[in-house]
Amino acid sequence: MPGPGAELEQEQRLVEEAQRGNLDAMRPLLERYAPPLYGTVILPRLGDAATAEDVLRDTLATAVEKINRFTWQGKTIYPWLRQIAINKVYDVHRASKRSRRLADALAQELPSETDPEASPDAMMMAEEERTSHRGRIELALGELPDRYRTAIQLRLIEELSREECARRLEVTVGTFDVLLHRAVRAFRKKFGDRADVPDPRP
Amino acid sequence: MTRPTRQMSRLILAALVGGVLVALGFACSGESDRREGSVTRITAPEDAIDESLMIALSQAKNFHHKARVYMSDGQLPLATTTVRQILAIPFPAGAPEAEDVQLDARAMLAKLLVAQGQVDAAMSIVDEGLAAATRESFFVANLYTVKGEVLQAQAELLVSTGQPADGDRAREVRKQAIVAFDKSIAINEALQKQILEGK
Amino acid sequence: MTRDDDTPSPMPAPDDVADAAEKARARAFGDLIDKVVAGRPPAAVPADERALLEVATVIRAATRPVELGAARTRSVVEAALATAIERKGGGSRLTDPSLPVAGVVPLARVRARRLAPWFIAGVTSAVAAAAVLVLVLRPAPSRDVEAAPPPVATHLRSRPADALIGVIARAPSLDVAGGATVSRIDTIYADRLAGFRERTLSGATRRRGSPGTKGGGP
Repeated sequence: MPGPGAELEQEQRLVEEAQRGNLDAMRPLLERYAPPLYGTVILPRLGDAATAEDVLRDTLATAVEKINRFTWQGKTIYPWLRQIAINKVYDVHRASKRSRRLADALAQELPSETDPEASPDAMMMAEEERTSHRGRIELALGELPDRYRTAIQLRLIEELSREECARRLEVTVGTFDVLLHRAVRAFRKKFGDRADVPDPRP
Repeated sequence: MTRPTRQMSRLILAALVGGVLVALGFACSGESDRREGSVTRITAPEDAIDESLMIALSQAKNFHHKARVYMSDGQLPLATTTVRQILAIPFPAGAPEAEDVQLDARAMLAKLLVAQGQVDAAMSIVDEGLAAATRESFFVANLYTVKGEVLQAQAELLVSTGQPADGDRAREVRKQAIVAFDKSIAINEALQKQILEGK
Repeated sequence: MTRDDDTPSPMPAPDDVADAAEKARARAFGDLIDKVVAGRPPAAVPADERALLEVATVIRAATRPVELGAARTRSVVEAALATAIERKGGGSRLTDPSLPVAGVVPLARVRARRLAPWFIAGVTSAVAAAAVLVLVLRPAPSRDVEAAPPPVATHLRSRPADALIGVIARAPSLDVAGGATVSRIDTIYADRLAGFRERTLSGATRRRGSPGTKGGGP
């Protein structure tokens, strides 16, 4: 297994080969970065797996098509791919009036600009992003009533069954279903309300 | 591959439902055909200048003016933050002005970052903008010019280390700067020709 | 459109009694979540619940690792490469100087082109169905419907700003760059504002084929 330095050199060689016209050289890079782009950049911002996959495909196609616009700076190509993905996610949201409110909320909550000081290692960057998403979600969850927060925690995060969730909350399954439904509605409303808070980012 | 098939089935279903609704719309508007406007609503162009575009442009204008005040006061970090906000303005999807305004903002942002010594950050801003561009415009050409300037700044930083390897690298970076300037010139020339020839 | 949280109506408290309709919606939502948690996202989701399902997916995606899977990854990468190579192999429209500036298709429509064959099939069926309904339900169409409205004037449309701004000169200093940028956004804004005002103040009259007619309404 090559070390990080060797991996970066290999990445640079592949990028330069693609820029010389052999677009197929991008394949190993796309296969390496498709999963973190999907899991930590696109899906958390879209919420729909099918659309997320479409956006991923579009992102990778655009990156290959425009590889000549990328300038190697001694860091992985991942931040550049990430920014293309984010732009496309926002295009999807803006095109859909229905999801515009959620999109505006996400624009406030999840970073859009790639931090130039971010880790040079793509996987670390993806992990940092997931940690950052989780923090923001937990912050929003913290503003919900306890029972709503617990319902979401048990069912969506810990993935306990409906029956187990109901048992822990000492309610029937039907009541738990109502609780979870209201909890997600409340979270969505809370997230939407936070969109009205001024962007605290510098 | 079941997922693309489901996606396409949804599209066809949506098209069928949409088609039936349009038909019903025609059918039910029999009396209101004499009302001016029913046909127009169906055929109104999607790209007409609308309120959402004007709101977005107004916000961009305000942020640029605000940044200018900060710059006049020597407060470059605040000017940078302000220009960055233009990139988060929700323009209507597909509006060509969105791309033009955001590319112009990126060019300004990159210059501000270079002025504060944040050359790598400036390059990221430029590269992201060029990657996102969907057509070649005077704004893309300008961003290539700024890319050339950022590369020049990078070369100067490399030379300043005094290391021979960095000096070699600086030469390569300057070559990239020339490529960027040439690209800008080529785009400008092609566009000017198109406009003069009336497209 | 959802019945949900785009309205300002107050949310029920956690322990408020639910009526039968809410219980049914909640049960259906619970079934959808079962599928998502099991890794089988439902293909068709009622519009009412789609927004909530997206929120639930966002929460899950943010708080636990989400796998794309090796097979799906390969499939997506291959499709992306094929698309990119096809686009580039067809001649880069971005560098072809013979293409008009305003003629480039926005990305959203480029995406739609990939689905064109299926979409065309669907639309053809829809148009056929629409034609049958129109023939059955309506009298002979009036002259107003047959006459196509004139195209909307360029100055009333959202469009690239290249023709308005022209070549952007290289700025010798940050200060000059700042001034020039402000000047450009002011120019674009003023131009579009003029078009917007004309369009809204004159109403829809100019988009119809009958000059001098007044706005809609009985």
